[in-house]
Amino acid sequence: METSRKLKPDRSISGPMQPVIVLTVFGLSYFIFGRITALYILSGFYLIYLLASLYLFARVKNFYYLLPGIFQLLTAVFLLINPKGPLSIDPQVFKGFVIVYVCSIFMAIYSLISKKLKWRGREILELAAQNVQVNPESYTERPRPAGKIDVSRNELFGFARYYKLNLLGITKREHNKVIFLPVRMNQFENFLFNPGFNYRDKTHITFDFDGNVSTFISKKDYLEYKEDLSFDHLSKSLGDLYLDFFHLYQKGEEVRIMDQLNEVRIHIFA
Amino acid sequence: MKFVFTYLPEAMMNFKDARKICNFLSKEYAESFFRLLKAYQNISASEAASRLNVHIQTAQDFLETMTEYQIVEKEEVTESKRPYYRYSLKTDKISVEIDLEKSLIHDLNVSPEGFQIRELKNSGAKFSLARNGSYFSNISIWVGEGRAVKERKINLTDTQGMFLYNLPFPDSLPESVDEIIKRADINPKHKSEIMDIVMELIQLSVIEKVI
Repeated sequence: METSRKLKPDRSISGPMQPVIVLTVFGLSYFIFGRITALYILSGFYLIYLLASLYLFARVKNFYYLLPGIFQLLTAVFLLINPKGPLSIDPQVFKGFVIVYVCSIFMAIYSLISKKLKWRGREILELAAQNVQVNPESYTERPRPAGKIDVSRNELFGFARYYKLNLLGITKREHNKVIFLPVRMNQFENFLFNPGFNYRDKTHITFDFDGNVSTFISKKDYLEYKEDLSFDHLSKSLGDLYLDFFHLYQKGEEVRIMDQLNEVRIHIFA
Repeated sequence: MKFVFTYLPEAMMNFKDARKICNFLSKEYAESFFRLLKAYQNISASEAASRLNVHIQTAQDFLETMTEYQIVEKEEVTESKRPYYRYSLKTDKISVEIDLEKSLIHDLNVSPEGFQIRELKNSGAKFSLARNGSYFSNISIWVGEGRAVKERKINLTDTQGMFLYNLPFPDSLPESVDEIIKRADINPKHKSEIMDIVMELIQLSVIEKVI
């Protein structure tokens, strides 16, 4: 899809900063406490990442989160059993371990470059903004009704599972509705790990059990666009996009949803 | 609904007029004035003031107001001095009748088909969703300027909340109240309460009226 980008480029450094912080801590502990302690600390970091991966897997049930999880586990072990590490094992066993470890590295890389672990919020916001014209001072902080559909609870829950599983975003179930939040790569830590997270001031699309659909675009997300887009048109477009997604899901053509998202061609870390 | 308050001949009043006349009728001296007017063929404001021991301005205001509402009539006389007015009672009965159906509800229905509405750009209003999330429960507006600015919160009925939930956005095409009511699937019998909040929000610069 040849599109001009409507969103500002993602200049978030939270992703690249993580390895930088880990390596800095490792370097400092190496100089202060020595190699062995530093390896334990680094191994500890990878175990924390492993817990994070398992938590994400538990939340969204996306099995691809197990691939980096395996890599993180093996890295933690590798740091401890390598020849310069604190624990010694049989060299033959270590060689076999290295083969498994290298495989895990490739699997983790595959999960990244295949976009299996890419949160698709950015693609969703880009798709919603296609064909939306500029209209300054049109933002208003209230939801917009997007239409009414025939939907059963089971269909809605199924769509919610699909939505989470494919990392379009996260969902929240309330007593008479399901809320869908698109999540961008630079947001998922906050959305999933922040215990005080409140969806109400975030962009979300609501499907209630009567089939009423409404959209809410947060001011923060609206300002992520390069220009002041027509807010009414943008909200309608976002609602239409989710209705399209839902109808594709109903027809069993979920693959078309991913096709649309992949056509936007946004790099894996954005 | 028809609410009979008290009686004045030939008068079907709006609320503002009724408030004004009832304000005068509630004064302690009102009955004495009417007793004088009944007893005298006509009387000047100064004569009435001196007789009732009230200020001349008080007497003049009372008589002028009664004249305005055709309870009293006045006649200009000269009598070899500068002209002045003499007042005489015009009626034996006073009634104030307020037809709430017409005088109040009618105001709210000011040609709803005659204008269209949408949210005003940069209104600054904050709409709060009700617990079930399908309509608004209240709206907060900042009124005043500078240090005098303060928050005004208006609690909404379910119907008003549903109506405002469907109010066109600032950059969308305006719609008439009837169109929004229909789109929001609201029972038209609630139109008067919707018009009430619409007119209030127009006053508060939250809703834009497009003619």
